[in-house]
Amino acid sequence: MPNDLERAFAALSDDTTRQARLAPATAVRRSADRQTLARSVFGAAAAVLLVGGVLVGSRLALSHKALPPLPPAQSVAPTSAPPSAAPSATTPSAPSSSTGSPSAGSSATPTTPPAGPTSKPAPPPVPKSIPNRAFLNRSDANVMTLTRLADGRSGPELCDEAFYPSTQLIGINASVRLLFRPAGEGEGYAASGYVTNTVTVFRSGGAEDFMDEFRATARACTQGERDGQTYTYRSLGGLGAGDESLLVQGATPARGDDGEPMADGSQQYVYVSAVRVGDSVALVETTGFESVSAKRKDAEKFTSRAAQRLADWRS
Amino acid sequence: MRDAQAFDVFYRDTSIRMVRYGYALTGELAEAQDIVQEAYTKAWRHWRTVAVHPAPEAWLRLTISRLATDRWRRLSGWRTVLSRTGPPEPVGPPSEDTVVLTAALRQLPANLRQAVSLHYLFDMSVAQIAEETGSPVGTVTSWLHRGRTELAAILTAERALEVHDAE
Repeated sequence: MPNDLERAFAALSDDTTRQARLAPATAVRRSADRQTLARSVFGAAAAVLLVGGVLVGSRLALSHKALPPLPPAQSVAPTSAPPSAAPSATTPSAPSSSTGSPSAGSSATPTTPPAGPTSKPAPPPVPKSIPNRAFLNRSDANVMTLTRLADGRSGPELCDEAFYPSTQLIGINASVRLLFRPAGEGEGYAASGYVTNTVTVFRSGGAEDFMDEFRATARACTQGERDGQTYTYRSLGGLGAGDESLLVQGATPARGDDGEPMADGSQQYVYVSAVRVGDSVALVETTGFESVSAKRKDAEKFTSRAAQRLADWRS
Repeated sequence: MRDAQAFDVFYRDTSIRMVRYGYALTGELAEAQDIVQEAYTKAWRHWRTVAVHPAPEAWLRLTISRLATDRWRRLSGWRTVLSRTGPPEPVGPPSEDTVVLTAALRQLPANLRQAVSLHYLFDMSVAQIAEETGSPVGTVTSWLHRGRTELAAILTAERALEVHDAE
């Protein structure tokens, strides 16, 4: 049978060579450059609007009372290192790649070099699987269905600029999706939204890298396509959960059940958030059901719960 | 300044291999082409990083496997770009072996499909696959064993069906 497999893969290779049609390299480069240019132009326009807004805002602030400060871009855990200890590229040696059991707990590896002045304990090893208790579950919402997805989701691709080299440091990841209806409503009530919760355990500092990349993606992706609609994205800052967190809102003109934009100009929102707890990240994507918009308070609640479940599992 | 010539050489030398990989992961040649073009677009945008990466081809494979997994997301209109280069040359249908293999691969979980494809298309050893996927060697050994066994079972069943149909 191995020969059969070799023959089949050889046939696939031959068919590909014979049938594949690829654009020339110059077309690939040109397309990439056009996408980058389009984003730069959009970003510049947004910056002009932002500067204008800041000027107007500062005049208002000077003439009236000062506005409250914007939320920080990330939350800082009380036990974290001082601000000068920014996430560095130096990565301590990965936990042993011969993974331990899922319930390995906090068996620190004393051979890990000191990470800094606070000498944090080494993270537990990358587990072989992610238990259900690490995810959002039926007690976290008025759940209609809960599905464990076949494959774990990767970093949110808000637009083509999304770039997650930390994918190479994923130890294990998995996702669940919950379909929920409004709290307190019974069987006959329609669904109000989905929440997809992905838990990823990284190796060698990948979790910190991922959060940096997610922030960079949120900055770069002021606009992006999603399910055939153009969404405008903006960062809503940290949520005070885990070691660091970020919530991003996507908005597009709301459409009725007929698919046409609503006459009242209302918006439909989606929310994507990430919370890092040590070497792990909980990613939460909250979307409305069909033409229903997701709600920010739901997204914040799900993110907070997901962070707690992840912390309870990895502690 | 990004080195366009180096990118073009890299693209020319590696793109067919990448389409084969995309084809094995998705089971659809057209989809594989879209994914591969998208992956190279990303590679060019980040060429300064990719060019100095210790294994640029591994970087690209990883991007392709991610795009293949997340193919519910939209891809750029590569079919539109290709349509501007004229109508496709007539090509025959894929061979029977390819059809049976891609159908069988689709029945495997993504990690087994990836491991088996890396082994058979890139002649990668267990250790190399382990390094590329960031998984322990023992895990990859198990994936390959399961992948081969399950593929063999599916292919055997298909062949038996063909013989039965022919009789």
